[in-house]
Amino acid sequence: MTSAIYFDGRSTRAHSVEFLVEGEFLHITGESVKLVEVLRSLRFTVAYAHAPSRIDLPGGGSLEVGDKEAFHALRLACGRAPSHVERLESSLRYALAGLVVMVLAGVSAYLWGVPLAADLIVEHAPRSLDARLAKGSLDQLETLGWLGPATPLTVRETRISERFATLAAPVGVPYHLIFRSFKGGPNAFALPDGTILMSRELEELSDNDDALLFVLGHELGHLRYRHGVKGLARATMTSVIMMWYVGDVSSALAIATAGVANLSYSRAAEAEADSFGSRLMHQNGLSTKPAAQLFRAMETYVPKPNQSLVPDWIKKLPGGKKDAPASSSGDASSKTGESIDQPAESSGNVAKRPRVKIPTYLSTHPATEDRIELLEQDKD
Amino acid sequence: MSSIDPPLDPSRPSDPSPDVDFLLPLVAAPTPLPPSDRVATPPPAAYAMRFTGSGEEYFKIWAVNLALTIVTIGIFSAWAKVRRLRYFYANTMLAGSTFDFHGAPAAILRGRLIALVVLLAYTFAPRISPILYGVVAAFILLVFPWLYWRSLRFRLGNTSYRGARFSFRGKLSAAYAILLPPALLFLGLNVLVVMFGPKTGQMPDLSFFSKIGMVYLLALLVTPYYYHRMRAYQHGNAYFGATPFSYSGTAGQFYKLSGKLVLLWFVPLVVVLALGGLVAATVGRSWPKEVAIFAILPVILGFYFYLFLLIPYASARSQNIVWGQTQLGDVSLTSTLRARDLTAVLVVNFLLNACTMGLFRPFAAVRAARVRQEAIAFYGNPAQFENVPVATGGPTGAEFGEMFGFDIAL
Repeated sequence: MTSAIYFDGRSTRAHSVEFLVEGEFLHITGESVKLVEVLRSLRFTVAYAHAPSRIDLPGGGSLEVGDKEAFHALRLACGRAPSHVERLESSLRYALAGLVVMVLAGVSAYLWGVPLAADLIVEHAPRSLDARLAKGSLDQLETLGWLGPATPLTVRETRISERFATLAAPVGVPYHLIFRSFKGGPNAFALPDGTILMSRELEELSDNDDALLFVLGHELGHLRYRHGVKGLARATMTSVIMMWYVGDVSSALAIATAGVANLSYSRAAEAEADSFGSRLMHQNGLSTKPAAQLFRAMETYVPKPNQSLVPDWIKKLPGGKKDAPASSSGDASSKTGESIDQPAESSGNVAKRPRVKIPTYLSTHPATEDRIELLEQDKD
Repeated sequence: MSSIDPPLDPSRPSDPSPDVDFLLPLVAAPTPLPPSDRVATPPPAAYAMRFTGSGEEYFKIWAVNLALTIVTIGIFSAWAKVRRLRYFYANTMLAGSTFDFHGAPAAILRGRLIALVVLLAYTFAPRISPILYGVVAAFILLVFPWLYWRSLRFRLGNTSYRGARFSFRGKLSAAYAILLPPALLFLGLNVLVVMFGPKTGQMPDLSFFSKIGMVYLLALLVTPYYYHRMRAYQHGNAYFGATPFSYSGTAGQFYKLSGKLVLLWFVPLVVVLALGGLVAATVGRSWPKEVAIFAILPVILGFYFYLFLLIPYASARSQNIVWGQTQLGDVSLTSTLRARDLTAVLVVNFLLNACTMGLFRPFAAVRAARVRQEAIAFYGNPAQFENVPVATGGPTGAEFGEMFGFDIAL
């Protein structure tokens, strides 16, 4: 005899009853209750540790059973084993196996799933999408006052343009080179529509044309591999995944974790563009060593006074993102292109205090030392 | 055991002593008092809701279901949702009995697939053509109240307690009357931004911002009103068996709460800015830049964290308003959730979630459910829900799918 509470399904009145299994039947008896049910007809809810379990009876009534052992015994007597999922749920070992599955799924999505899907998307997205991503970006920079006037090309710029044209690398989109003064300092970026902008500040930083040609080759790499669309695809996917996983806890947390993942994709894209650029140089019999020099110069770049683009209050934040918008490549919201470096990082009070070093895993670009090392492995 | 348990003293409703008698199951069927007695001294018996779930137990359920969802590329999520709801319902105890959820996972899966298609259409339509985008947006606008209404019917119709189903019997036309005006307002705002907003590459002028600001302010001003109407619709049209719920809240209560929130946001902001300005103008002048940075930064972060704390405050207060104004027949409900209790739980939840990459989530869910539910109590003659006919007439909910996670927490 086990005691339980019986509800008849017609009123919410609780009947205190006792039940007993006899052969194929369940006998339920209480003050005004006398029922006999066929064991096969009973339905059992999942048994939880601290809640009464329920048995649904065929007539619409139900039994609430507090006694776990009696519930399990009755369920066994009815030949109804707990479902597979219920068995998994009740074992810590399977729960930990579930965690392993989750971690494996997360890691493989990060390592292969998202990059592969992004490659597929890039393969199937029309080139017109690239151009549409870039639409208006240059105008926006102009309106914000980041770009200097479009003055005629200098002798050197004409020479660089001509030499660049002879490199002749098909990247799937017609490209054209422009030189402008840029508030973000020495930088270069390619907009997905084929516009490659080299800042005059970068030009001033090196008197070696080959260094600048490598930078342009790097930008061609971004165009060749369509990093603009790819970055957007990856950023969208990581955001959706993280929103699904922790979005209900905090969307800030989701955005932050997705952002860290995107930065690693962005670094991979930069490395890809670097190797495209150096291949292009070597194929044309040019050295990448001058480019290594240029990178060193950018490391120690100090902007002229009044040249800073970052509002003072941001610069004051330790570790604050002191980045030109162009170098936020891989960011879904950024319509601008792919930059050669994050020189603006070195803006601010470089001379006065040691600049805050952004750890590599929080950076859009690979560590400069690593990039320089690659460039110095010159084959000439 | 007496048929009516010792009442809760309303003057100290949040007394944290969970082991007292009134929480014990009402196993014995209550023998209703003679009518004369009931009229003479209506004893306000109180039943506090209790939550019996445990983090360790739910962790196992969560991990297994999440893994299965991943392995089945999301299809199992509908089953996972039902299993989650059943766990939380089964561990919600009122007067010794627990709740149950009967929703069919297939219906939920169907609803989710439809929602996914609509979401995809909404995301990609603007890239194809603005007209298509307009069509999709108008379609969503038109079906949204219907989805909302369906979801309420599904959720309540599939909830049971003591062998009786809940049901939602609100009219579809009322759902449209409540949801369409704010939806149109929102749409109007978007149209306004698109029509008069800055073109690409242009800096918007100040007059544009002031106009948009006015409209958004208007939207903000009507929000408490529509929040109230939605709550009144949800709680005022719910039934337990044949017994109707009623809702007596007013929009004024939400305006009062919103006013408090604005003050709680605005006054500290003004104080901090004033003090900061004072410091900067006096002693701060001589500070080197580095010192100034480290003086400003904690203040900014502190204020951000303070704003974060307003969320549980608002949530606790609005739960108290909504449930405090709800009645089931003659039984009145109260919610005495203290903002500081909910805040403590949610802040710890957030920090541990962040530290464990989300692995604390199942524990967090149980903690939040406990503090929220155990604040709710029922006062009045328990016969109102202990012995009422189950008579239906409301929708069973079986044929309805659920699209969104609308929750009314019972």
